[in-house]
Amino acid sequence: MTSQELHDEGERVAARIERRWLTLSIAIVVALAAMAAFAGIHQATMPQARVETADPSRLHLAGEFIESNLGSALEPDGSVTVRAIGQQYSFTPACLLVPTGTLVTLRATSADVVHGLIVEGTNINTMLVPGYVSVLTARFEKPGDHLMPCQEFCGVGHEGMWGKVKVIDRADFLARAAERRRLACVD
Amino acid sequence: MLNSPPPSADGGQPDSGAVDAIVRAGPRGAIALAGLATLIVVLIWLAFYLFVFVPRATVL
Repeated sequence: MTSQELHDEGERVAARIERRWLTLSIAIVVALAAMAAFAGIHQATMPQARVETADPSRLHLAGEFIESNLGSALEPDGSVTVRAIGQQYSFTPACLLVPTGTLVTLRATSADVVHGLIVEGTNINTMLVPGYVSVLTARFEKPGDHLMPCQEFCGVGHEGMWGKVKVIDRADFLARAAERRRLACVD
Repeated sequence: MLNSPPPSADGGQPDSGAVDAIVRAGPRGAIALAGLATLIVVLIWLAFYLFVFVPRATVL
């Protein structure tokens, strides 16, 4: 073999290794995409079915996010819908009250800038974009408190923007729901 | 490598024959290192996915 042939052989080896590494990388990306599809089917996380809008300049005047409608509402089918607003630098309500063993649908939006919302110990993790309603579902099996910080930098007071989700026994929740239309931790 | 021959006196140019031989042998060390690093990342990702993320799924 001439030295040129030996050199070309080395080049072929390098090209073959690169092709194999590229194939492996693409296979990993495809596998991750397949897992994301599995997550949707398994309900580990569900992309929002449709885009819903809410005028941020009129949130406090009309529509589902007026102050008297915020908090947890018991639905006729037994599930609970929680409505909340994020604004610089707090959530309203600051503490969400939800029952155990119940499908909870969180509907939230922002009144000013882009905020985020993540509930510790659950797959709830979304952005709150002014003009749009973020909808997520969760189920809490045990009573307890879950931290709910803003996870999207929203200004100088961002680090102080913390909320909480308080999970209470379903019977206790139903008793409170019989007395009030909308529930939060503090009435 | 520690046991490589010292550079020749003609200005330290590498021996192209030796370089070709190294390239022909394939980047086994690089594959082992990159493969192990990739494997660790993918396994940690899978572990979080299967043992943390999916069990938190909302059962409708």
